[in-house]
Amino acid sequence: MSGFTKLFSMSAPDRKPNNVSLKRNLSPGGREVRESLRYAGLIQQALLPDKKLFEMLVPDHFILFMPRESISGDFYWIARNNGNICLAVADCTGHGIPGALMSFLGITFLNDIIRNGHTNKANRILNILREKVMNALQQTGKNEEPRDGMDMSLCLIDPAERKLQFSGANNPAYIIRNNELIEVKPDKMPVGISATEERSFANREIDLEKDDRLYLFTDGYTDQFGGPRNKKFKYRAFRKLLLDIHTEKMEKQRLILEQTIREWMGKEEQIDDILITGIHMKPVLK
Amino acid sequence: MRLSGFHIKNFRSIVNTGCDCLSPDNITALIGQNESGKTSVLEALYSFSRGSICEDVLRSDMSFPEVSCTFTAEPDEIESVLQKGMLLEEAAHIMRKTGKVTLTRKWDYNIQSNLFLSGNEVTAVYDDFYSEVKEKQENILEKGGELIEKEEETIKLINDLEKSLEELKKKRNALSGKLSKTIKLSKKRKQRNNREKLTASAEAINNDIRNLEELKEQYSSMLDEKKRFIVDNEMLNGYAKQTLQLAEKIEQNSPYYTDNESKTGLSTEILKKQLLYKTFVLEKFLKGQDLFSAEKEAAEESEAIEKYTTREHAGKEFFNLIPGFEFFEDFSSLLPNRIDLDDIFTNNLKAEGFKAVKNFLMVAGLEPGFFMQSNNRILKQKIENLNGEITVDFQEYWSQNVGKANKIKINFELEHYDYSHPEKKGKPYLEFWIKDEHERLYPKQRSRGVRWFLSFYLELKANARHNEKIKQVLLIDEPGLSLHARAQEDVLKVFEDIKESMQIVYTTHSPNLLDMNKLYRLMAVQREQKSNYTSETVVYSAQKLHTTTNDTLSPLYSLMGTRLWEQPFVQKKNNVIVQDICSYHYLSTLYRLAGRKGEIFFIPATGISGIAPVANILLGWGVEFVILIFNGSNKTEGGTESKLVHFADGKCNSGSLVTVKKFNSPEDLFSTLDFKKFILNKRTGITGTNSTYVEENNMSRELLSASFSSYVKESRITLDDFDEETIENITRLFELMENSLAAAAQNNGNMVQERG
Repeated sequence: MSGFTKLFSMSAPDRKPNNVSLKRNLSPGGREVRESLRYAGLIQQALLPDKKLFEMLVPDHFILFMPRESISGDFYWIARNNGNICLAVADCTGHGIPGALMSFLGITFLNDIIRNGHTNKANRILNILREKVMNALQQTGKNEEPRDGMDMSLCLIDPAERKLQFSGANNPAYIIRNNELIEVKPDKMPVGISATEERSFANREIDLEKDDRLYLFTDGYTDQFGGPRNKKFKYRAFRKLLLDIHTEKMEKQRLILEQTIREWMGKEEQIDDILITGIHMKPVLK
Repeated sequence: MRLSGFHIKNFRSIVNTGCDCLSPDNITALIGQNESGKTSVLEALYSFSRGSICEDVLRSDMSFPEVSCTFTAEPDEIESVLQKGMLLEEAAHIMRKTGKVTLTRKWDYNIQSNLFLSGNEVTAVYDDFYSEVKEKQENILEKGGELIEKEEETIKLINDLEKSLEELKKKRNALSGKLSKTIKLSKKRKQRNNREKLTASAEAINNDIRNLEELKEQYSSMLDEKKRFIVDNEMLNGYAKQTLQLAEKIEQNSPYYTDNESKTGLSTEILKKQLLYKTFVLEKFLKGQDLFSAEKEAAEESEAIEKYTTREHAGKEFFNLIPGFEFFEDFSSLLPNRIDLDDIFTNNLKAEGFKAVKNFLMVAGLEPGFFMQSNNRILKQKIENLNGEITVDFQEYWSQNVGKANKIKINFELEHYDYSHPEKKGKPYLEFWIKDEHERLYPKQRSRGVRWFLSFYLELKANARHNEKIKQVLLIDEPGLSLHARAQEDVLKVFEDIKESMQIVYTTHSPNLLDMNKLYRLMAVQREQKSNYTSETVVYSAQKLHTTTNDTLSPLYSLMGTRLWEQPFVQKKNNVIVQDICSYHYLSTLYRLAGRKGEIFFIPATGISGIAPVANILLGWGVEFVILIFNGSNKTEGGTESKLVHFADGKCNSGSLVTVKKFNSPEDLFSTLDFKKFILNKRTGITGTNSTYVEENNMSRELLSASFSSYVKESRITLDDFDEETIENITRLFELMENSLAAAAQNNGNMVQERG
């Protein structure tokens, strides 16, 4: 299904966007704006990877996507690249409209990079993406420039060889294997301009094993305030939760994760977009 | 202190050069076309040191010149000023931390200049400090103003009260008269029936009178109170008035009389000090302190602030420590044939070649007293020894030969006038000779070039010797114009020799006065069109040379060509012909950097069409070679290879052609990140190939490649400093080259192509 066909035939999303803050900020006369935002949200949905493609490339997976508003600064993306599966989860600076605009850029650039097919290294994809972002935002390192960009986890999975290449811009990846959680560390720099001079993202290569679970995520889940003392959820609790539930079916894991964070949030407002993807390694692509 | 940078504004054709850094090794060359403004840069720096300018330098938009120079100072130099406790602590901290002192000289419409300590961080500290003091001052003055207003209002109120009291008196008198009349009337018989009415009326008048009396009493008491207020505050108000008047005076004088003699006869600076003190007194006074204690405390407080002198004072203190600036436009004082010793003893500046001779004596280490030696034989022997020393030293710099191997020598002799000069008979004079193997000629009989170089050599050496301890900045406009290329290179040698004791900033059009391996010494000066009618001078530092025009860089391009002969080009085998000079720079540098076991000699052609002639020559010499072409864009597909094959006319049996189709040019061998880091020195997003970026941004490939080559030579970078993408690309390329060379050696005429 193409993006536009999907846009017009799409049923109500299986999620309830938290529009509280946006609605509250809109004046009674802001109906048109609200409509525009809702429509922009639909376009953004259409730009995200087709569900069928996702299922074809990684049949056993889940995506927990809870944008804070009708449009989101987080996005996920998947594509086929020379027999490899390329999967990315990104968190753009800001949320709402600025975040969404940046995510449009991110998705477009990633498609462009894969289409040109110049590389089969995860880190080079991030390097090229950073060039494109810097070029689009005219970032040259001067103080007065906007520091917009995105944090991203990007994986290239070779299903035939069971190899994983990971490159991360501030965002890590978790692999759970034999009840142990392995953290694949990212580089501490964004996709975009930063205070220090650009250097190449690292390319981390990992041999995958059957039944490995791979999790890519943004920081919305762990940074969410709530609980009895209104604290952040934090990575420690997140890792523990993943270890507790990783043997469950992927869809059930999504439900538990969603339920847990909603309970944690309680009446608190959602502070950022939330995105987690989980993949169970049962490669079918040969 | 050492001059490390400058920033010139509004000086002749210069509007704003921005901050420019001089070469760290004390030799900086300004290149650029005629009329670009190179000499203006030198003149501006010279004006900074002298403080004076002529009207010619003023721009038509009447913006006034401003020249800032940044100096790198030794800690003890900075401390020598800081110890005087003159600077704000925060500013002193910045200067200690950075080790830099920036001074600015700014001229006004009277062509008078004002020198002050500047630099962004230091200026910000002073601005903050003075704005705080100013704010405090303004608050106090505002309160003083309020007090004076209150006094004026009170005086007005007193006047009103006095008037009102006068009116009340009149009203009372009128009512008293009316009351008497009413009482009289009520006593008359005729008014018997109206008596009650009249009595009531009299009573009412009485009441009015009583009210008036009460009001009068109130007004009188208020009047007394207000008068008391005026008397009580007389001194305070008087002080506040004086202070405000002083502030007004200063305001009237500024900005045009800032720091100059003001209309009042006192400099604004003194008036400002007075105001500061008076404001502090007023502050204490307003708080209720007596004048004596207020003055005492205010004196202490203003003294504490004055201790931190103005940026002008601090600037003058540091100015005393900067190196002297000398501007050499031309060496008009050439070495004469002879000079009377009397002229040397009496410092006769008008004597022909006096300055050159003084320099000569300084370089020889001779004091005038040397010639007082009574024993003529000893004196002659000493002179002979000195002649030998001077010649040896001079020959170190002057490398040209007269004829095939004939070096020139410098000699001077002490002679005495004979009877042919009856007026000077018996008096001593010095005679100079410039000799070679075959003849002995007076300086004037030698070429202008030799005389110029000799004078230049003497001037610089003498200056260096004279100022061994105090560093100097020599500003030299187009040195060696009349010199042969070889002699121009000798000028550079002199610069190298004196650079430890002097900083040299010079302008040139000559490639021979530039050092290919020290491109960081270059600054480009370029005239840029701002509109149809206006243009202004822009200065580019070494890092930005690639953004200047080809015309500006022409000496550099000539240099790139002239220096290639120094490279070990053609060997019997392992030669690789590359398509241009840029490929040569990149590949030879990367090959060295890669530290590969083999040896490859890269030979640049002049473009694709120039490859065939070079290859033909090599074929003729019978050397083994391969041709390397980057042809990623396939722009010349179908043409290039056939042309290259065609050149040999079927006889290309020792040549192989390697076509790299993955890349457009050697620039693409670098990952984008490495290209930005090592070649562009710039942070920007590059979305296409490196070669496309260079082309689209109209950059000079020649300069970028030469700068990279020079940077690698100067720095300690290794292959490990590049990222894996670059390493992978160059390793693959060099493997391919080595294999092709091996193949060429064994099986001549193979066509090797790399696909992908």
